[in-house]
Amino acid sequence: MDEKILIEQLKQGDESAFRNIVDRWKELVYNTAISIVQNEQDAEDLSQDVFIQVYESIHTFKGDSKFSTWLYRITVTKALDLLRKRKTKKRFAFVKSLFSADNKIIVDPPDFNHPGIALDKKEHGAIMFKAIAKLPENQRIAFTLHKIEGLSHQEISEVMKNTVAAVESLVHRARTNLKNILETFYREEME
Amino acid sequence: MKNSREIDQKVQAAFESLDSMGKADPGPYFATRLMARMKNRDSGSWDKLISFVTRPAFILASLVIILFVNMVAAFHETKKPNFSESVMQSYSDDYRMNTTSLYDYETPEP
Repeated sequence: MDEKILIEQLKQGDESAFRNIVDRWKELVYNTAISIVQNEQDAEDLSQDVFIQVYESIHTFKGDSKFSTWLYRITVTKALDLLRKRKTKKRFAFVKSLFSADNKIIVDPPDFNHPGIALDKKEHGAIMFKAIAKLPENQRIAFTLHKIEGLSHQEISEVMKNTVAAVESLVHRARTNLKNILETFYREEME
Repeated sequence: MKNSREIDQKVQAAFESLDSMGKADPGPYFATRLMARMKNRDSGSWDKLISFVTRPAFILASLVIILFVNMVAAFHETKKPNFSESVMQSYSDDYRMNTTSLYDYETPEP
């Protein structure tokens, strides 16, 4: 069914249109979410949150951009919110551990294996995602959308509400930073 | 020299691990789980309100506000302006507040 018709039907509260939208775009939302938050359960919850927001605020979608661009924007915003919450929680846990008597050590989450990575590349893939997690937010989003979601610089600029030149610069800086992070990691591993 | 070449190869391999990546999908029954969550959200709005209102923090905050409003009211009550004796007397005369009973008031003077 045509995208525009589905959106119009959803605006009129059609539940089957909503189900169609979920089935059509769930992979896009989930794949983006899991690539950014790097946790399967969080990605599932976040994907559900995205579709709930779509259902509740579809009337605000004017059709100026592609529907997928709007979906990417909601997903990225929610993913960044989650990462910030996680960071705050981690900081709070660290401060708490300083004052607690039992001296609990804060454990970093285990290596993330993206389900889409081929089995023979899992090891390098896990290291790559660990490196991506160390990038600044904007570079992380631009690189993920470009390299993992396969979006063009133009499409990313629409999602991030940025210029194409700015996105090109972000992707380039992300690559350079990733190269440095990976080189340091492998050097330390060899020593 | 050998080490740096090896590191370069590993970095290259890490970048290439993303090249042939497949898409992750949320698994079967995602839409069903989503619809169930949305239904729970709708039916649970009253429960959420009740549980919010009965939270100890909310009750404590409400009590503090009520106490504060009472204290402010009591403070303003004690700061009422003092009328002088003559003003009070003139009010009292104007409104016949010094009559002791209805009978006295209605009894015509001789």
